[in-house]
Amino acid sequence: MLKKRTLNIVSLLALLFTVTYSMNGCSPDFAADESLYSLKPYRSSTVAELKSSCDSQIEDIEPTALRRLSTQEYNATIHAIFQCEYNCYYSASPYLDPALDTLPSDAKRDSISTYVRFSNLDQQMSDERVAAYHSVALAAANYIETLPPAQDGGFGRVFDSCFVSGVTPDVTCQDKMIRGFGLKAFRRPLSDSQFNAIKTAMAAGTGFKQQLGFAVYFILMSPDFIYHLESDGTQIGTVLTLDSYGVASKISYLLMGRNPDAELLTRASQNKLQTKAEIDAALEYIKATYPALLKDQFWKFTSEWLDVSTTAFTNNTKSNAQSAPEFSVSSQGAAVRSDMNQEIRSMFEYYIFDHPQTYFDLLTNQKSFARGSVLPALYGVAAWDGVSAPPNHVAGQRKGFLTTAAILTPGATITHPFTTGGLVHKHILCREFGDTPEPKNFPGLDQTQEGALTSTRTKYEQLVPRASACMSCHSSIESLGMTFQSYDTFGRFRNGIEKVHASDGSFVGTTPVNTRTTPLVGTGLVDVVDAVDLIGRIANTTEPQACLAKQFLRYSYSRKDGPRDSCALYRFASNLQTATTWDAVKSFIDDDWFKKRRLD
Amino acid sequence: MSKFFFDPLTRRSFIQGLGGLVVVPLLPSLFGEKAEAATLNTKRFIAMTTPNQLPSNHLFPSGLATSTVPADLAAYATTINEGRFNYRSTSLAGLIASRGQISPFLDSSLNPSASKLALFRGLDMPGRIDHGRGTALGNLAASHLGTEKKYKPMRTMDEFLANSTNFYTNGKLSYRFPILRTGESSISTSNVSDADSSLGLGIGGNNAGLTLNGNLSQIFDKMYESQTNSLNKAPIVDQVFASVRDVMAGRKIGASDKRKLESYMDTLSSLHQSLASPVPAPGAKPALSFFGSNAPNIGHTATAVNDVRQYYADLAKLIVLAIKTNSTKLITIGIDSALVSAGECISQTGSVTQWHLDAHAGETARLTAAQKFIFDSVFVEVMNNLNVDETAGVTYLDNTMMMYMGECANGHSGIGFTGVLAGHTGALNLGRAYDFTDWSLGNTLTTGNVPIGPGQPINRLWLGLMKSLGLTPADYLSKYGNGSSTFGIWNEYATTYEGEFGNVSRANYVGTQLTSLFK
Repeated sequence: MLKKRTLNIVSLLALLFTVTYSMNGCSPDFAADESLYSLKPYRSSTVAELKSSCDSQIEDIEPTALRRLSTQEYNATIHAIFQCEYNCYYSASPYLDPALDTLPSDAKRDSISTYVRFSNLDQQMSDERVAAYHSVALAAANYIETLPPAQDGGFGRVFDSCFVSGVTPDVTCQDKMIRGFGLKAFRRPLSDSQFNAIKTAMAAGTGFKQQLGFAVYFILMSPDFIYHLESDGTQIGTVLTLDSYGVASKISYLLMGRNPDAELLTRASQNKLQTKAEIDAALEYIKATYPALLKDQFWKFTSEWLDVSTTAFTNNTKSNAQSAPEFSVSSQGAAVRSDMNQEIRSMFEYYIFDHPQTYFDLLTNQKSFARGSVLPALYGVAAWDGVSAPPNHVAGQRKGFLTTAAILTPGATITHPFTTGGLVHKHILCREFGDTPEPKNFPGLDQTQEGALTSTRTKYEQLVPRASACMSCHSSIESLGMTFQSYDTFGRFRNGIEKVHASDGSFVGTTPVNTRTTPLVGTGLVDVVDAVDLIGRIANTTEPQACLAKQFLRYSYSRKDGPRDSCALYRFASNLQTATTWDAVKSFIDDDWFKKRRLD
Repeated sequence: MSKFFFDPLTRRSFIQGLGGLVVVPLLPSLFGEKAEAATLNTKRFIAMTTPNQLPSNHLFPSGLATSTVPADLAAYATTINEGRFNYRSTSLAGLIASRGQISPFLDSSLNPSASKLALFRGLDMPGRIDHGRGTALGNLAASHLGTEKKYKPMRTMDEFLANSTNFYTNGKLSYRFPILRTGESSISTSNVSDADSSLGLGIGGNNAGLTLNGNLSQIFDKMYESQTNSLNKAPIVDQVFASVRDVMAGRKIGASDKRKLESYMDTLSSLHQSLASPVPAPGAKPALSFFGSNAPNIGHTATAVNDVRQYYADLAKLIVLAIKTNSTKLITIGIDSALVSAGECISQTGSVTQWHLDAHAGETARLTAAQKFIFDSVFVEVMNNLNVDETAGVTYLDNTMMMYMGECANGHSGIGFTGVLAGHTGALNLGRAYDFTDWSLGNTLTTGNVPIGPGQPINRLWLGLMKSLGLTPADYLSKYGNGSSTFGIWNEYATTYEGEFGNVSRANYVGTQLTSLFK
């Protein structure tokens, strides 16, 4: 019974990942479909190709549609406006947090898309979301209205310092309070019409606090709060160049995930967020003042870009048998997953912020950032203390973030070369297949092979008929993914030998690991011996830099890139080649292009 | 008079205000269709729980349908087949004829009501419950299971009902008490504090039930007061419309931006309509003599609730009054420690602590006595008082689904929930006892001195109840943000629970209503 269930899980997972990464029209059923042969399986860019595309046109930008705040941005903004930054004694948290919890999560829809879909591409405005906005706004209004005088001293920091607890403010102070709150919420000063609308709304209330509650409700339900309403600046044709408030807001949400703080709003009020030097200064201010937020935002990007799993290891007989002697899946699977994710996060933060290096270094470094007891043992290295120089991996076993356990471990009982190959193909190199027909009737792994002394590579190769049209796409994915058969399902280096276990945990035997493939690297097919070799060769092209530039643009603009973005992408990718990653990101943000928005 | 002003600004009138710059069709759902549907659904739902174990072998007809008493299987007139499972049911009238009463718990005083009762047992939750706040109505998060699995707070069934325009057809949340939460709130606790509580689900808000301190007077007063409080804290959504108008008319945005803002306005329209729906008129507040010679002592306070018998009687009267005055269609009655610790109800077990220990020890006789006291005092009292004509030949009870369950099943487990349904003659096959345990599968355990076997997922009961009250899957699946997983969580049923009874594969039935119990 157990064996059958495990087999089902294996085949289900196999089907899932084959659907995700292998199909794209590559089902055997499609073998006779002539349209398949028109697919362009290797469509990607190098830095030189971006330059060529840029040279062929005038400087431009693709349209960016109006975006709402993501759920995370909305949450962070509400907290920034109301919470401990301003008032730690009588927090609004008990009022606001339950309502905030009703906000729908932003969905990361990445299944069979041909490119990485970041969660902030989810722009659905549902009834549930608006009901949640209403709940939050109402809770905020209730907080304002019901907090007794003895506890409302913090209002001065939420609204304006003219407020004195227990004293009804005069009209001048009331207006200051409204304008102060509006500035933080709308990320720019209230216009006269906005201010008048708020005053009209307040007039229906009785008593100042109720009126103030009305104002807060109105502001939090307004599109200027809910959306990234980039609509102020200089417009030429359909291209708008954002004013300093727009820039402050844009960089704040990108790098901190929240609204601009008082300092950035002050700089915006002085129109000091327009030149490259001014924007660089603001970026360094954010880096120095909000390092945790900045790192959180980069991790959000990185974890979504690389599809970093948070799923604990499958707890069953086979997994426990396979797992390292240092830990059991059942008792430590979740903890080890957490350690794995912390390791890759540490690597990115080390090379981007703490010891700035280039993207090439992220791809090719041989350092281990594994902490705790289990993960270093899996790697066969000493644990990193988080302070000293990270230890080196065993020579020849690992290279860069692509060989960290977080990337290598599917959390299942078998490795998935299609998944790993798909990750490199789509996420690291931005290679796309074009239009993707719906997959159909694709088989899972042959269940009769469960327990047979057959390598994982062979099992997966048997899934896709070698002579079928499927191989027009699969040859690309497999030639990348099979190299990672150097590592087992827990990310351990196999030393050329794969240990095979049956679903009941019994040891079947060993079989040699074949990691040799002939992938497309740069402009031609190249023989590679394993993943470390592959990564080294890829890193010496400019595809990874061009791809990372695209991924970061997609993330920061909540849209896919297009031809009119190629000049900005070229500059960004070029800097990713030569500058540290942080400096390259800065160059992307302080670029004049970043301040522009094409209206559609 | 409302502090917030309502100008039911529709999207069309807003668009017209733009001088015809943008032409869009009127959303048909805003007014006419809802008004037409307003009279179609008059069904109500009353749910009650008591704490600790509810002994299934004393509530359910005793001595029936365990594999260890095969001769009793003959008492079951009907075997229900569903796939590989065999359930059984028997006529309550037949039991009364042969035994004089339905069960030790449902004694002969209930014989006249048997035709409007349905008993069930053998409904399972996927794990240990302990003292689940809200589990009886679908929130697993506050139970031991929820703690173990780190479930987020989940909507309870009554909240799905309150938020559905298929239930409150003249606009969701538009009743005086969208949910009247009485006693304490364990049965109705979703732990999801949001718009619902802000809008005034019951008295107390934030998912709190009524506290003891003066709560009966709160019910009575609020049943008749002008609607000026929480429900009228509806927003000035029309002002927000104006702000959207300003953005669309005067800002540098593109055509696609305007389409997105129109989408926002559409959802605002929907919100506005639901908030602006009228609240039923309260009618004239009666004098206390309305209740007859035994008028409720609605001046009870926390320290004065010593006469628990009187308190329960008053509570029952006010609940009946709330139904008859159309103040609510949803009532949850959570009897919790504060009530049971005071007064004579606890005399059956000696103390609350002992009651709890009895549940662990399976002292079913004492447990039965304690639970029965509350059941008779409140649930039966309400049921009997609703069993009078609402319209010719149709009683209030006939239009009301009543449910009684424990907060946990035998011995604090989640296996083998037992309960009573009453009323709602249009939806239930009444007058029968249903055992959803398939004893023939041969897998049995003993918990709390009560034999249990593989039953059916309890979410099948909830689904059936919601469907019978007019809800559709769209009303409860993937609703309300992070507190939405009440029914989705059952996807884990197979991996978290089937092992208890040796992979009997009940997970296939998760998401379907119980057969035979519901029409």
